[in-house]
Amino acid sequence: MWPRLRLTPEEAAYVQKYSAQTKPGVANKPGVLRRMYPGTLIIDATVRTPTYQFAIARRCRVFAINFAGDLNCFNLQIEDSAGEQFQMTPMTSPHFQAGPNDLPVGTYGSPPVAGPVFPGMVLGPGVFDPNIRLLSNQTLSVKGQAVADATVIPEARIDFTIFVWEFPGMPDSPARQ
Amino acid sequence: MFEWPELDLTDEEREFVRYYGTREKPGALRRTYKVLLSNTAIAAADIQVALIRNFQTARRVRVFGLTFAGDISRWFLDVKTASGESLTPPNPLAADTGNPPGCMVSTLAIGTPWNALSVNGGYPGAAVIGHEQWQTAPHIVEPNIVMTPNETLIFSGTPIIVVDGDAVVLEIGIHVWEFPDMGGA
Repeated sequence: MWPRLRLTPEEAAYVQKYSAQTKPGVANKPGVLRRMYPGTLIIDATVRTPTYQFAIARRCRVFAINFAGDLNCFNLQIEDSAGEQFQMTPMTSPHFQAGPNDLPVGTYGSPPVAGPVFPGMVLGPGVFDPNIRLLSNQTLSVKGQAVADATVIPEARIDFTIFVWEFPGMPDSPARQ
Repeated sequence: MFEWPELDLTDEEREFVRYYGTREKPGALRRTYKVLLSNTAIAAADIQVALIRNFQTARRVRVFGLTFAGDISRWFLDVKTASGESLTPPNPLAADTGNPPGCMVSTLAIGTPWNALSVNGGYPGAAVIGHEQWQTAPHIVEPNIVMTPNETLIFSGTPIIVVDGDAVVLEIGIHVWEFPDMGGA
């Protein structure tokens, strides 16, 4: 369900899973940091393809992303600043997180409906394994796209959380103080 | 499948405790604590303010999981240590959306993609058979949040008020392992 952190030999040279107390004669390594970054994508009459940019100063690994909101109105695609696309085409959120692919008839591409027609439930977080590795200050873009034009979907919104492990003290990353 | 992690003791912890207690060393303790965020006690419940509750124990603990109950689609939650370290920091590149600090709880509680700010809206006031809010998995924190004795974890929640006078509640279960006799505990 949720992935466990396994350090690569390169990472283990700089950090450990939990920072330990310094022992005499032993260099102390910082612990890995787990952080959750909030994000929002909003579609309105003028913005039909909103983009959310994510970058932090530390080297990090993005291990999961979770969405909530008008899931049936958005196609989504994640891309890093080098142009690497993690989905070949924009696609709906059930392809990211285990959840309802049995959409109620007529909801795909239809106007957002008030009430409990959608979104059903999510069975697990949207996990990336192997994780998306971001170098210090490298940008990750979460791109949204309305699945229909403004006459059908005048506005829609999703909120999401990006789950990362950060590696303080690795090359190009600020140390944790 | 609802899945909980197993306790892996670090070398440092193993010097003080065991998975199960022995004659020489105490066992690690698995405990669950609750914090309750509720705007019902606020005189003007239509004011969107952050509600703050603290979690603290006398022992050294590791927080390994969070579970949520209540109006999950109607809260932003910011989690900080008492030293000011935020576990839900803002992304420096993100445009200002006017959101309160923290993450929408629906994106933390697995199973509940409802969102009171979306056009679909939050979970309705009355239960709708066949469309219940499900929590299909706990929120697992890995690596765990390590807290030294008497250190405080601060849960700051901001409710999303749709209609003036809305009363919204969020109950957070904090699942921890405690390590007696370790580090001043």
